[in-house]
Amino acid sequence: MWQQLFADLKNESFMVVAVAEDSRGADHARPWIEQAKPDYWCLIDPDHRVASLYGMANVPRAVWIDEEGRIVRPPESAGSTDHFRNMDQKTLTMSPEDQAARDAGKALYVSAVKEWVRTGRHALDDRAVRDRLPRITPDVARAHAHFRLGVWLRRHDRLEEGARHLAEASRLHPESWNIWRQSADLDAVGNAGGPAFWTRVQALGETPYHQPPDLPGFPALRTPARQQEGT
Amino acid sequence: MILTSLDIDPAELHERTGWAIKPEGACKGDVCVPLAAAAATPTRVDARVMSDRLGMPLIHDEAAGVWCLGPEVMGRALTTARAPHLALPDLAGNVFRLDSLRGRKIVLVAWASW
Repeated sequence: MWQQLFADLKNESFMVVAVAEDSRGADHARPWIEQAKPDYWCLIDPDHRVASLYGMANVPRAVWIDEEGRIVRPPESAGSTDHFRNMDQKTLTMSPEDQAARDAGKALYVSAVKEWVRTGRHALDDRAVRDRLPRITPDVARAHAHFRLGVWLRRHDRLEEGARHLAEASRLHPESWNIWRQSADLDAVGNAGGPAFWTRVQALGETPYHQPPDLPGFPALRTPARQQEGT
Repeated sequence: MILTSLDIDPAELHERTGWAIKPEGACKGDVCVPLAAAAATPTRVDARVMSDRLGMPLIHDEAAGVWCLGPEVMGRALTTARAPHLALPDLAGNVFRLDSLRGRKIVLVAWASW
């Protein structure tokens, strides 16, 4: 998606900077980056510095920054929608309708980026951006600090202490998927499609996993029905 | 930022958190928070004072002997719409600074392999 977008805009004064929120380091992100064959910048962020700076609680989230270094869109879902929540969890397949709606979300997002790059449309002023930035409560700030410390300890082979801080981070900031999915054993809870992941997604109820971006077209995308009981 | 001592080097504080130590106090963007002169000199800042004055959590792991100074609590994630300083390595370990792209529009996207 990003390579195509960047290629389509190669004659514009534009750059994609993709930051991997991978607390276990570059080698986890490497295969994905090598497969994308990117001409844009791909950076590695094991401490989740970007998530902490912008108050992001999930991926993919994107901010738009103009030529003068001003943020013109706050962190938003980069076109991802909640249609995956209707997926058959045994076969991990989506209905054709949900697939089409999911793809439409990505296409709408990509066209909005192109419009902004070419015409300036969709840019918000400073005040609108500030009002849309996530709130950082004392607990959320403490969660980011515990997360950072936990990752540092894990990297320095102090696995038990690290796990304690990571669990505390998740307790303090339960809305953060970024923290939760990096806090425990990745195979046990982290991978999308695992039972613990689905249980947690189901517990969201009406709360979106990806809040749709406030861009034209998104409200018209059908909001998926909640998952059926027992699926 | 990770600390092995409660005395922070102001240059490192600025690089890691965006807070600059000036005569008027700790400053970031349009915001300046006064600090006691003894707590912040050009060569050292007391992490406990930064924590108290800016609401930055200071988390200690006693066994490992390290602290983490977390983000300030000032309402929203950022106090201005100016993109904060960001420098991160690429796959080869070369550090890239976001502000080197000034003059271009940027989409900064956070993703993950998990």
